[in-house]
Formats: sequence, C-alpha cells, structure tokens
Amino acid sequence: MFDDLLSALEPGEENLFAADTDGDSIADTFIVEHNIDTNGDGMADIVVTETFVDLDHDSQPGYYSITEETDTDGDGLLDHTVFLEDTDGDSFFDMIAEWDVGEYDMSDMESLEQLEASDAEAYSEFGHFAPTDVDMDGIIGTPFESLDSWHVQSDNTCAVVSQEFVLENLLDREFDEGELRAIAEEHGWYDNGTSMEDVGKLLEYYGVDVEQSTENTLDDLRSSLLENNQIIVCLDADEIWSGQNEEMFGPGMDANHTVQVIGMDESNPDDVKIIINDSGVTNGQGVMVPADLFVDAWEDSGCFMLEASCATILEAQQG
Amino acid sequence: MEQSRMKEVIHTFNHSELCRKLIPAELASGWPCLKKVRGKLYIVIPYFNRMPVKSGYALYPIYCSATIPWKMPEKMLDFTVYTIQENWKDVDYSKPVGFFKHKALEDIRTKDEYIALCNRLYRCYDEMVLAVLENKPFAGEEKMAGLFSKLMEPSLYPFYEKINKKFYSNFYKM
Repeated sequence: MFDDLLSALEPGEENLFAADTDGDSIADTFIVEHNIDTNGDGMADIVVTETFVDLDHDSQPGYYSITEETDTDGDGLLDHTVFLEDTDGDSFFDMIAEWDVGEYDMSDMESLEQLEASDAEAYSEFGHFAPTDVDMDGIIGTPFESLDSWHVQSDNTCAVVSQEFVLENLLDREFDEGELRAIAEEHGWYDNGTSMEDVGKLLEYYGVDVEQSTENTLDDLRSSLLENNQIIVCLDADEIWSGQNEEMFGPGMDANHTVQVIGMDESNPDDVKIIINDSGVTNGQGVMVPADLFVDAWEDSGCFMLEASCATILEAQQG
Repeated sequence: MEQSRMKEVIHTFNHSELCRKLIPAELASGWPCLKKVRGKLYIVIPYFNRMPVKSGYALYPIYCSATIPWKMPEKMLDFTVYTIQENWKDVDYSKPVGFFKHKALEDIRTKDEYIALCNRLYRCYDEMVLAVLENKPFAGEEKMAGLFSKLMEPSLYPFYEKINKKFYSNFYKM
C-alpha cells in the first residue's frame, strides 16, 4: 500500500509549507501537498499530503505521516482517504487507516475534521452578519469588530474558544486556543469541557473583569452591549442549530453549549435578531439568530450570562 | 399534558448551583437510572458530549454522572467522573462512539415527535418511581422497556451498562 502511495507522488502540482513550531527560528515542520490529475480533466483527483516533523534538526523526522485523498467516483469531491502515520520516527507506520468521507462507520472514523466538515445543516436558515447588508442604526454592540476572531473549536472547547474571542477583542492581540486550553487544564478550569462556574476564569487570568449572572433578559443583554461589554452565554445548542428545521434534533436536554454574543439587530422591531459567534459549527461566524429562538435556547441555562470588560486594565494603564 | 416529574427533577438539577459548578457546560444529560440507598430514592444522571454532524450528532462516551435525591434535586449525593475510574480507563474519549439518530428512531422524523416520545418514557419513569416508593409491582415495565429500547442510543448503551447494568439491561431489549 505504501509503495502505491509513493508512486503517486511523482507527477502533478506540489505545494510546500514550512513552520517553526518551537520558536528556535529553524523550520521543523514541513507539509508537502501533491495534487495529481490522473484523468487530465484539469482537476486534481488524488491529493497526497506528507507531514514531516524534525524538532532536533537531524534530518530524521521524529514524526511522519502521509495522507492520500482520492475522488473515486469523479464527482470532483475527494471521497476516500488512506492515512499512514509513524509517530516515533522508527520508519515503521504505527497506524494505517482507511475511510470513506461521509461513511459513518466507527471503525473508519479517525478524524474530527470529517465531522466538523459535515455540520452544514446547522444555522442553514439564518443569515450571517455583514455590515453592508444591515441597517447599522439598528445594530446594538460592535459585531463588525468581533467577526475576525471567530474560528471553529478543535475539541470540546466552546467555553475556552468563546473566552479566546473575548480576549482578542478586549486586549487587541491574538490568542491560541491550544495555549488557553493548556492554561485552563492546568488550573482545573477545563476537563472535557468547562463548567458554567469556570466560564470567565481564563479572562480573569489575563486581568479582565468578569461578572456572571443568571435569570437575565434580552433587556439585560442590550444594556450590557450598550456598555461595550463582551458577552458570553450558555444555551441549548440543539435549539439554535436546528432553528425551525424540525428534522434536526439530538439527544439530551438543557444547556450544552457556550457562545459569544456580539450584537443585536433591532432594525426591524418585529424581528429582532441576536448576533453570535458560535465556535461549535463551521458556519457559526456572526450568525443572526431570531430573538425568540435565542431566548428559548438561553432559558435552558437559566439565562446565564458572563459580562467582561477591561476597566481594571485600562485604569492601571492610565494610573 | 402534565410535565413528567422525572424530567422536572433532572431539569432542576441541571439548573442548580452544583451543576453549574461541576458539570462541563458542553455536556448533555442522558437517560437516568434509579438507586435506592437505605430506603431513600436517588436518581443517577449520566452526562456525555455530542457534536453536530450531517443529519445528526456524533456521540462520545459518558463522561460523568451525578446522583441526586429524588425529593431534593438541587442537592447531590455523589458525583463521579468516569475518565478516572479504573474500569473505564480503556475508554477513548477522543473519538465518537456512534451517531444519533440511530436505526430504531428511523420513523421519528421531527423534533416534536422525538420530544413526545421522550416525554412518554419520562412518564414511565414517574410510574416506576411511584411503584418503588410504594413498594408495589411496576405494572408499566413492558411499556417502559419498549420506549427505552427505542430511545436508548445503542452506541452509548455499553457505557450506561457500566454505570448500572442491572437497571439498564432490564429495560434495554435488543
């Protein structure tokens, strides 16, 4: 199997990515992507990706993996994957796996990325905030300033990532989800998720003022946005992901997710929308959720809200 | 129709200070089991993670459970995190164990239909609790087993069984 993969590396377009992951100014991680067009239609129908990690720069990779993705039915989508991995640098593959994308067989399921790419039904009926598409006079908060910090969470880390968004907005610098998660784990604020009580602890760690409360209303949300606070809420994700889509539902009850509220759209008083950054799904950036639906989902957490501001940091800087 | 007492008990605990303090907010509560200790009735609520995927959810192993008094659902008798339990040490929490919705729910097409089915099962729990508290035979056992077997997520069942095999296997007939 490996020989088959190696022979596929010869023709086609090649992309090389290099990165220094340990900060010693020497590139230690290299990703080579080979795009191969076997039928001459101008589209790559095999993509082979090799990853080499050589942290001690001895030209012997301590980690090596090769992934071959193939479009088996010619529909332009890569639908079959073969993955080989040598995690200890002994030149023998420790893991060999093969799966079809979209095939829900657990023996083949090796990567969360497959799952995350498949959640397109969430928010399918809602709009996404774009400053050019809305009447800005009706917008509460500054959602346009918060869109860029959004990204999809890499694990069960919605609370960590929501705090990352808030930190980036308040402190105007980039934070890394992995580093924040490591800090949270070290302090007991993350273990397969974050309890509601610990939502905000990462913010406090960086000197941000936080206040938790429950039993809030949309008026409380509006007031807090008008005070330029950053807001995180807990809610029942199923209710907002599915929206009015009656065919999307899941097991379990009550709140199970954390998102950042970045604004409200009151341009149509009969159709108020709450604008959120949701790291849990691939189309969760600046989603405009109808207020009544948002409240239904929010009530499942007792309308939990965390408000964050950097008043203390600013005072310290000024004083 | 009147709200199920079992559903209300779980809901009360899920909104309690203890739950906010201990249970990761990302987790969903699963099917409870009953526990009788020194004549008092408790319910064990398992919690697990799930992620949205195309047409459903990926399900992850049960992570923890809370044991709460039936009559005081804002209090707690026990909180168990399974990742650190000896007989759970081989469980891989990094990968999903299965998907929702499972085959037995193929005929359930809408959220309302699913919630209605869940509510019927919760009301069976209520009947069972009443029978246990009054030391009477539980007449609705067969009905409960039918609903339970339909609603139980097969990929999570092995983990439920690890929590309380006697209870769950009594109602899960596959």
